[in-house]
Amino acid sequence: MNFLHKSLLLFLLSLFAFQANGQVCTNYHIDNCRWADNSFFYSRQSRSALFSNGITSKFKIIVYSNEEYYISIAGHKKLGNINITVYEDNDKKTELYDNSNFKYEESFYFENKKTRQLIIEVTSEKDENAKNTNKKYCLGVLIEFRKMQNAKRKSKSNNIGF
Amino acid sequence: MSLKRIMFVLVIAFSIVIVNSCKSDNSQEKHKNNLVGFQTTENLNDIDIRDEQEIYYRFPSAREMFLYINDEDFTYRTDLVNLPNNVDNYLDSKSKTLNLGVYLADLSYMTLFGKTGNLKKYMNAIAVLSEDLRLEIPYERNIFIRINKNINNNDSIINIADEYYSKVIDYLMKNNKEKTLAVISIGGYIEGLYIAINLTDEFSENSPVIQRIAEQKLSFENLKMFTYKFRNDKNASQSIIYLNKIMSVFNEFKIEKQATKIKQYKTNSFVIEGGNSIIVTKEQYMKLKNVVTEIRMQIIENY
Repeated sequence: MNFLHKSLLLFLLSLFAFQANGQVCTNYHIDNCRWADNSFFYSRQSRSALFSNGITSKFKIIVYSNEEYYISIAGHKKLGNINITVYEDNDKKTELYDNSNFKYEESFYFENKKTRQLIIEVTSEKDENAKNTNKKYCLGVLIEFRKMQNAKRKSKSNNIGF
Repeated sequence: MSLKRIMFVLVIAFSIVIVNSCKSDNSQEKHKNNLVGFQTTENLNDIDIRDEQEIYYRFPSAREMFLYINDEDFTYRTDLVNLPNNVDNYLDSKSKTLNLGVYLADLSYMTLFGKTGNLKKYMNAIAVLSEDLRLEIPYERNIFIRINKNINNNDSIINIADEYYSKVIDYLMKNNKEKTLAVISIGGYIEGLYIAINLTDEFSENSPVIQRIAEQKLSFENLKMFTYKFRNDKNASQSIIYLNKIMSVFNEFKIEKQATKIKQYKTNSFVIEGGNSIIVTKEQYMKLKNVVTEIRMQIIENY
């Protein structure tokens, strides 16, 4: 390998290092979360982010009345069990769901009767043995929704007679 | 020194500059590198680091907002959308960005009602504004080629228009243009609310559509909080003024408090019942209608 080739190789390696340093997770939930069936629509309230072990992060979403929601979570395996807790954003911060009560299930579904603000709180598992706790990995939360099936059926069954 | 050595030294120097710029380019980045979680953005230049919020705010897209309007319950009105010819009147970046949101909401409204006659004109208006704002929507050219090929197939045109809408919003999110997304969303939300309010003929306390319009208070709150972190940006701060005017009317709506109940069905399936209700009177609703109509006129007429 001559000088020129060596130089070029070094240059490409430095570019690769630059790329690897700037980890981007924007689409992680789209590529890694388990999707519901086709009757659900993708919500742009879905979100991915960088996480390290043992951190908690929250985001606030809106869920509309008479809609069904499917929420699915996925993270890099080094983040361990991912705990997702859902609170209503009211005075009491009512806890609605906590997947640690259900063996850290990675997806759940709910029917929502009234429009409300929810707080989605996500916590990655602590890694006591990790040498470098600053290592970051991607984690994503996928949110899908559809009009409530029962509501649809009810309104249709009411539309009878004159 | 031989040419090879000069080349070698130059490449080494260039590589060092690149690797270092990766660090020093981000003097703020040092702080950010310690940040993880949903509230962090990869485009740090957009926000003041001191404003980093504990909670990250998400809000439904204007199209998600529209889904409650059932085309079976309403008659499509052509006079509610912004004319595509107005695109030439938008010369500054604020009006271009806000009206990009307006046209995207109009596009959603038309596709929801299956109205294909003017879709291409609206997609053209969106393409013009996004190009002016230097947004590079992927495969945009292919989308227009497909529109031309399917000009007589309504279903295909609706699907392509829907796909185009998604591509614009996805582009903004994937490329961390959240500041632009915030202003576009403000335009889209105001247009969506304007259309919804004007589609409903009369006020009725029990109308589910009027109830849903009142509930948009919560979506507007999240959008405002999301935009607030970009308030140092001129376009965002001016757009927040519009939001504040609408929020001041929403804040007059009464909140009826009720406990929330959970019915657990299976391990990962439940129903959320009860919770607070937003109560709107006829006077408040009319006030909201007037304020939204006035602001929407300011946006589309650019004054």
